Amino acid sequence: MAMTSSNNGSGGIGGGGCYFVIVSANDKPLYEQSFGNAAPAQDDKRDESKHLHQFIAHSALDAVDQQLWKSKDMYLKVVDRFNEWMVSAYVTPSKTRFLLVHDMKADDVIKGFFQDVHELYTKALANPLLRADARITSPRFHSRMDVLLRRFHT
Amino acid sequence: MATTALKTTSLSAVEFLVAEICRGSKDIATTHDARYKHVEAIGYRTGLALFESHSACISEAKKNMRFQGELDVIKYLCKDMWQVIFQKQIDNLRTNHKGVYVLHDNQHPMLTHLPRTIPIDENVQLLLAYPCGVIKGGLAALGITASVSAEITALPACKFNLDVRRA
Repeated sequence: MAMTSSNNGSGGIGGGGCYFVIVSANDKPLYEQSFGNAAPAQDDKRDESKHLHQFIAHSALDAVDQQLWKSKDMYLKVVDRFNEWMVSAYVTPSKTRFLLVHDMKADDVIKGFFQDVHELYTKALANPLLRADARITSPRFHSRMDVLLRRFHT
Repeated sequence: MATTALKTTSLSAVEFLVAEICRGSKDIATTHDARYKHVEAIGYRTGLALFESHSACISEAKKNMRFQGELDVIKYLCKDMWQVIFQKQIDNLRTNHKGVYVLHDNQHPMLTHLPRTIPIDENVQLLLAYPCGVIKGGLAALGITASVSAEITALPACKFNLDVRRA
C-alpha cells in the first residue's frame, strides 16, 4: 500500500485510505464504503485490504461495546488497533454504530465527520419505506457520503 | 450542512388525526382488542421514528451525550419527548426502581376535548392506544422493551403504566 501522506496543517485522515461502516443495533451492516487506497499495487493486494478492513471493523465491535461502559459520549475516539490501522467509533442514542478504519490519527476531524454522518443518517432513517436492519441503498445517501468521505480524507 | 430540526405541527392536527384513526379502525377490525392493537401499532412505528430522529437533534444541545441507563431514557421521554409530541411534560413520574414506572398526565391532549361526565367506555380507551404505542416504540428505538398500558383516572387525567421486561 502506498503511503502518500498529505499531512497538511488543516488536518485530514489522508494516508493509505480508510473504510467506513454503519452497523445497526442488531449488528447488521447497514452501509459500507471504502475510500482511498491509492495503491498502484497488484489487484490482489487491494482486494485483500478490503477484506482486511471488514475483518478489523468486525472485531472492533467488541471493543466498542467495552468502551460504551466507560464513556458517556457518542464519539468514542479510537477503540481498537490492528497493526497500523486504527478504528474510531461513534454510537448514536439508539445504539447504531459508525466505525471508521483508518491509519492516521485525527480525532477532531473524525469527530466532525461522524457528526455529519449522524445527521445524514437521521435523514435517511426518516424514509418510511426503509425497513429495520435493511441496507441503506439510496443513491442520494451514497453521493452525500462520498462527499463527506472525500472532504475528510484530504 | 444545516442542522436537522424536527418539523413542528399543530397539536390540534395530530389530535384530530388520531381521533380519526381510532374511528377508522372500526372498519378494519371488529373486536376492541384488535382495534386497540391496530392503533397501538400505528403509534409504535411513529414513536420508533420520532425518538430516533429527535434523539439525534437534541444531541447538538446536550453536547455529545448518550443516555446513562433506563431512568435517563424514561426521564427523556417524560420531559423532552412529551414536550415535542404533546406540547407539555409529564406531570408526575413514579417508579419502584425495579422496572415499573407510572407516568401521570393531568391533562392529556387526547382527552381534553371529551366531556368530563361521559362513561369511560371502549371508544375512549381506544384514544389512548396511540400514545401507548408511541411510548412503546420510542423506548424500543432507544433499546428498552417495555409493556405499556393506560388508565384513565379522571378525565382528562390519565396515567401510563410502564413495565420494563428484561429480555
